[in-house]
Amino acid sequence: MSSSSSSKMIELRSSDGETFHVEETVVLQSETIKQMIDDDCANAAIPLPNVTSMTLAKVIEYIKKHAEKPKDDDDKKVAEEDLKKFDAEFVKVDQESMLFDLVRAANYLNIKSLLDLTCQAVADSIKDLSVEEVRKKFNIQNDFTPEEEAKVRKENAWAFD
Amino acid sequence: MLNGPKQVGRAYMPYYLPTLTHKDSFANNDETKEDIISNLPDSLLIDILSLLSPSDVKQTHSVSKRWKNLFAFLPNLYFVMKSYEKVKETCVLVDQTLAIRGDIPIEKLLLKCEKKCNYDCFHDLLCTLVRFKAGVRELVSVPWDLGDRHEVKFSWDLFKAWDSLVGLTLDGGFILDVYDDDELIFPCLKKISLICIGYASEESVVNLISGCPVLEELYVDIINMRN
Repeated sequence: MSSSSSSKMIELRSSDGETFHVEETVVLQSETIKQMIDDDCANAAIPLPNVTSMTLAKVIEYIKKHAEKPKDDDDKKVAEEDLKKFDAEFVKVDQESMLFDLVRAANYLNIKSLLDLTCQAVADSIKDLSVEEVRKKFNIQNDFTPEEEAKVRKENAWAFD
Repeated sequence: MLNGPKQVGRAYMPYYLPTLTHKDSFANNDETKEDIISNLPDSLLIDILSLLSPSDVKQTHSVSKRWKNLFAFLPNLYFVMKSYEKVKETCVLVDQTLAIRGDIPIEKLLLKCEKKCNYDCFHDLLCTLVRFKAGVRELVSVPWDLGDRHEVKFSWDLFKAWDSLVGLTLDGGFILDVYDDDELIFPCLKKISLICIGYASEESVVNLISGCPVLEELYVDIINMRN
């Protein structure tokens, strides 16, 4: 933490007006922000109108963890394991909506590893669910008529049993 | 628990008020919940759905109209003809899917035919793919065949326009028919697997290989080769 004083700080402002100060080296994981810095648009606080403070705090937690550099090779293995554990815990969010907020934020900020991680977590949560369970889980309205639905369900030519 | 607040509400307020509040709060809940996934742009939802296994794809494609359409945009498409009677249905489905998809390239396309396939229809299906100029990178085709009489001709003529193909697997009731023609070429085809298929002539394999300038891998299962 003491080394952070030497690195340039970037100010981010969430959609609800909260500001966050993050080291430039950390925030460069976001291609979107990197572009802004490259274009010299990061002198004042960078507004992120699509990201709430709650989501932004989570994103910053993620990129900070992923910015940590291991000292040597032995340390590297431990760090990789540690990162895997961190990622697994990171997507265990209390509210399903947070996961989707993270997907959107990762997409908007263009942080590929976070997007991959969160998309995989959503896919894992759909896995092995029946059609009804998926609808219930995400509260998706079934907009098929009963006849249409019966027809669609019979279209079993899509994949293996 | 549920009866408690209702009775209190009725005792202190006009009859309709608590009912309305109750309904409203539910409607809001529903909306917030629904926004979770319906607010995701198609591209993100496709990213998520493409991480599902084929069997999960099958499970979820009838969730809603939007989901059903999104499945046409997955990087990999799998079609299986279950029976002779279903062949027409499958062809219609492939037609519709490709029409929705437009010219977005297909990473991997699997066409599988289970027992008693209508081989003419299967051939038509291959023609449909060529007609749509589907930018397929890898084609895995398995028209299963129990007898030796009905076979699908996999001919150079059909595929000469298919220049996106990188991988090709033919398995089952195919007859490979490739004649010697300098103009016929698969410019990108790197990997070919020919499993248990028949050959129209001895030269067919040689002709196929000489039409593939960048071929890296060739697998031919000759143990079960017919002819």
